[in-house]
Amino acid sequence: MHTAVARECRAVRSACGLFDASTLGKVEVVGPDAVTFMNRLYVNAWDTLTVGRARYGVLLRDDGYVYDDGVVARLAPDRFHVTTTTGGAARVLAMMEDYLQTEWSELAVWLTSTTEQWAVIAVQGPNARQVLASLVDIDISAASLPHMGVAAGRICGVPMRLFRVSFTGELGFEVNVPADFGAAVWEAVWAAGQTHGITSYGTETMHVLRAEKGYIIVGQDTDGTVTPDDAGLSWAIGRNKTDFVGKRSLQRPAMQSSDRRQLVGLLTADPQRVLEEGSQVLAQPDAAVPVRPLGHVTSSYYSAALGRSIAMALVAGGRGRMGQTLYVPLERGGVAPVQVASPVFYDQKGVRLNA
Amino acid sequence: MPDLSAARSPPRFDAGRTLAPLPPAARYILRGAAQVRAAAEKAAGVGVPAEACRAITRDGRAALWLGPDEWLLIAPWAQAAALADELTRALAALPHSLVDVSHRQSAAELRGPLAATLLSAGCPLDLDERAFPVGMCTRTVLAKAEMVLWRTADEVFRIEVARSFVTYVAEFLAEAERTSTPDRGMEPRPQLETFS
Repeated sequence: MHTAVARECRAVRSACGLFDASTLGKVEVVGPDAVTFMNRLYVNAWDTLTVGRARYGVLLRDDGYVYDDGVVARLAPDRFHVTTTTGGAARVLAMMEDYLQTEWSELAVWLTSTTEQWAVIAVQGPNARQVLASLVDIDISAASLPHMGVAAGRICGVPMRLFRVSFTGELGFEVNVPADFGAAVWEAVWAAGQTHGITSYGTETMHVLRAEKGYIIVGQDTDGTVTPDDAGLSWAIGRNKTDFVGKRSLQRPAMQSSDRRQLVGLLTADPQRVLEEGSQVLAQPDAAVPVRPLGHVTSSYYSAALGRSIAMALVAGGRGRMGQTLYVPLERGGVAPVQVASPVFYDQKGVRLNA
Repeated sequence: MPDLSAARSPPRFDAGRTLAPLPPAARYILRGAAQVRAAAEKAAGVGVPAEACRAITRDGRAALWLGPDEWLLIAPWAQAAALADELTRALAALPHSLVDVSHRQSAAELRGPLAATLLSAGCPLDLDERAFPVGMCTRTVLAKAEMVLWRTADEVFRIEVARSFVTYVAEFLAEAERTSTPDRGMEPRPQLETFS
């Protein structure tokens, strides 16, 4: 399996990868108060999201902890295409309906699940634009469809919502087509990609690629006790918003403490050692048991692109520990020394996804 | 570039003698207040029910009440664009939501004397005609799957199921049919008697 994952990762980084992202949850939020609803629910400022653009959205529970995330596109002033995590789709829709019906029943906005309406074909990699350009009837140049742009058009005559988004860190697109057309469009993209080194990739490869970029998976790098700041997502919060679900909880002193567990990268001293996910992170290599851990490893992979292992971890005061050496106990005894680093391991300036 | 505008591959939704697939249809979820209902029924050419859990049909189109502000509109696939245009124009000035869910779900029909019996294998509702008459519809479940159930005739039910549940529902109903043949379907089964 490691050989296959490494091969798929290399293909996406060097040429083009094809991934079935249909399971992503989708909710269509429609009505004159759609933007008000989104502003109240998600941490982000949606007023500034213009039609034809998308933004990474973060949803908290009222306790201030990260509950879900996903890309949200504005299709019209009164229409948002909201994506959720795959496993979170049903509970996010239920939470939305709950707030709408019990707290904000005055809002003229309605929710419709569209998870199964759309097949989603992710085309990712430096050759992604060339592969798609011959199949679509719209201009997908970097100028016309920049990173986080969204456009409607047709692919091989089939109606399409095209998202220029990337969970891999590469130039990437997600082709949304009505689900009955998913198989035929997939085959057409596959055929068009043959001269561009196209390779289909699976969920494990997607996990590695996103970890190389420090993109979190809610439920893996978060566990229901992680604030946006803990996860390094403070930038997503709309600073001028008077309220959103979870805002008041975030203002509690304990939620702002500098020694909260924060998401960081870990680089093992032995670059070939891949840590076990769930391992504890310790300050000392030889502390007597029982010892209070600083945190734990949330994601860990071998990165073919970097030729070494990478890991993400939640570590107490982690962002203040950059460069420090910490220790991860091993299953068979002993410890692995690790250096605290940025969780963005690859292309830190984001040059590739803006190509 | 290939033209794939006719290259549909809908999930296969048939099993046994009772369950028959229905062709792809245009489907919209309409949400809004009472004025939206009134305007939509003029535009769509089919009554949009104000009464809970009722469906109205006309000329191949149907409107199903799913909630106080929610209806499922169904039309022949060939009318998909026309229906959307008619509704969008008629509702432009009214706060509402109209969302295309044509591919979200698939439909099949259960026909014949076993139809209600098979559904009862996984649906907790009373499907006796007095409790669930012709023209009644509701969102409910079949075992682990959510569905919209609509009685279109004495012995005919239409079910609408999310596409990823189609195989599960078809196989569940096929299994129900295998264990409920017409000649002994309503009789007590021997293995149950031993526990009574």
